[in-house]
Amino acid sequence: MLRVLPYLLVAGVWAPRQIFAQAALSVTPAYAVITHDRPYGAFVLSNRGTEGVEVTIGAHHGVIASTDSTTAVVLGEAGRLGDLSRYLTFFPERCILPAGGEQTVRYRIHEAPEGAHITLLHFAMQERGAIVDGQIPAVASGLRIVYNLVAPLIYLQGRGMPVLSARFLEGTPNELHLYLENHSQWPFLGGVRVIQNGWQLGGAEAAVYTTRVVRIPVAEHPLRGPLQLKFDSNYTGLSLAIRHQLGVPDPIHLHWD
Amino acid sequence: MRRYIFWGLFFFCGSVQSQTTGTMRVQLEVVPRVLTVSISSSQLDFAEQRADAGTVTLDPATGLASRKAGGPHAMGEVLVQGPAGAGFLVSMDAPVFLHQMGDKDMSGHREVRFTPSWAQSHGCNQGTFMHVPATQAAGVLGEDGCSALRFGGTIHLLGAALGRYAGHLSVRITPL
Repeated sequence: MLRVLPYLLVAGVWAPRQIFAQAALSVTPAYAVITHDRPYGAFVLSNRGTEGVEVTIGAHHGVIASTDSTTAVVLGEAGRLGDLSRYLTFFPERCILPAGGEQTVRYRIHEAPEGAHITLLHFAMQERGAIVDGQIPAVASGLRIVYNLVAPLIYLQGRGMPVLSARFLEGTPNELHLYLENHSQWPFLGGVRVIQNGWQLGGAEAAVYTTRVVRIPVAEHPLRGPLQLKFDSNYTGLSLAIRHQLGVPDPIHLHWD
Repeated sequence: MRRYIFWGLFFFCGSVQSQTTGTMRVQLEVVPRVLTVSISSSQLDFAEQRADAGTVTLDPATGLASRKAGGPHAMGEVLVQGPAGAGFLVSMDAPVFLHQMGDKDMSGHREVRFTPSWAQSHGCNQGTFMHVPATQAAGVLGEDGCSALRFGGTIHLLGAALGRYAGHLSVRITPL
C-alpha cells in the first residue's frame, strides 16, 4: 500500500479539471464561406461532455475587427459587407444536446444582392437545470453567464477582389504587428507574407472583413528600408472553389523604419 | 501442388498490392481550428452583501471575493479546448446592469452596475490564472490544447436598495 501511495498522490495532483459533470460544445466547421452556386450548408453541434446542454442559435450582423490595440467581435456593423441575417434561414433555432449527442443545423440563403454578406452565428449554451433568476437566494446579486460559441458565415454573390491597405504597428524581436484595412465589399481570407530583398521574413493567415491586426512571426527583424506584403488565397479550411472566387489583392509596398 | 498454390497466391497478392498502390489517391482535407467549450460553471454569484458595502469584486485571478459575504460566492468558468497554440477571442458586453427582481418597469432606480472581468490559465493542468485587463481580448491555448477561463467582476452597491438583483452576462468565444 505504501508503494502505491506516492502514485495515488501524484494522480490526485494531476487529476484533470474536468471532474464534474459538464457540457462540452463544439461547432464544426469553425466558419463557413458559401456562394450562390451552393447557397446552403450545415453546422454540426457536438456535445462531448457528460451533461446535457441547451443550445439557442442566433444570427447577428457583425464582424471580427481590430483597432490598433484590440481585436473583438463587433455587432451591428460590418463595414461594406452586407447583413446576411436578412437573407438567412436556419433550422433548428433551439435544441437540446444530451451528453454525447450531435445536432445538425442547416441553413439556406435566399436571394441576396450582389456582393459579400456576413453574419455571426451565435451558439448560446445554457446548462440544463442551471440556476435561473428566480432561484437566486434572497438579498443577493447574481448573474447567469451565457456562453456563446461564435462562427462567422459568409456568403458571396458574384465575384470580387478585396482591396487592402496596410501599416505596421510595431515589431517585437519575434513578431511584426500589421494593421490591415479592407476597403472593398469582398472579404480577404488568405495568407500574408512579408518580403524584403527577395527574402520572406514571415507569414501568417488572416481573415480581414473590415480591419484586422495580424501578428506575423518572423525569424529575423527586418532591415530599415522597403518591404513588400504579398497575399495568397491559402486559408485553412477554405475550399479551392471559394479561393478561386475570392481574388487575391495586389502586393502592398511599405517602408520599415 | 502446395508450392504452386503458394506462388500463385504470392503473385496474385503482389499484383493486387501493386495495382492498389498505383491507383490510390491521397486526399488531404485541412479543417479549420474547431474549439470545444466545456462549461464548468455558468453562475456568477456575489452571495449576500451589505447594502453599504460599496464596491465588491470577485477576482477571477485569485478566485476570492474582496468583501466577506453571507454565503459562498461563485464565479463562471469554462474550459476551451482545441489544437495546441490555437488562438481564440473572448468578448463580453460591459457594463451589465443587474435589475432588482420584481422591479417590472425597470425604471433604473433599482439596478446594480456590474463590470465583468476575466482571467485565463495557460493550460488546464495548472492552477494559476492571469488577469486579462480587457473585456475583449485574444487568448491562446496552452501546450495541452486547453485553456481555462474564469469570469468574475465588480458590483457597485452604493445607494442600492435592499433586495435581490439578477441579470445575465453574455460571453462570446470565437476561434481565431
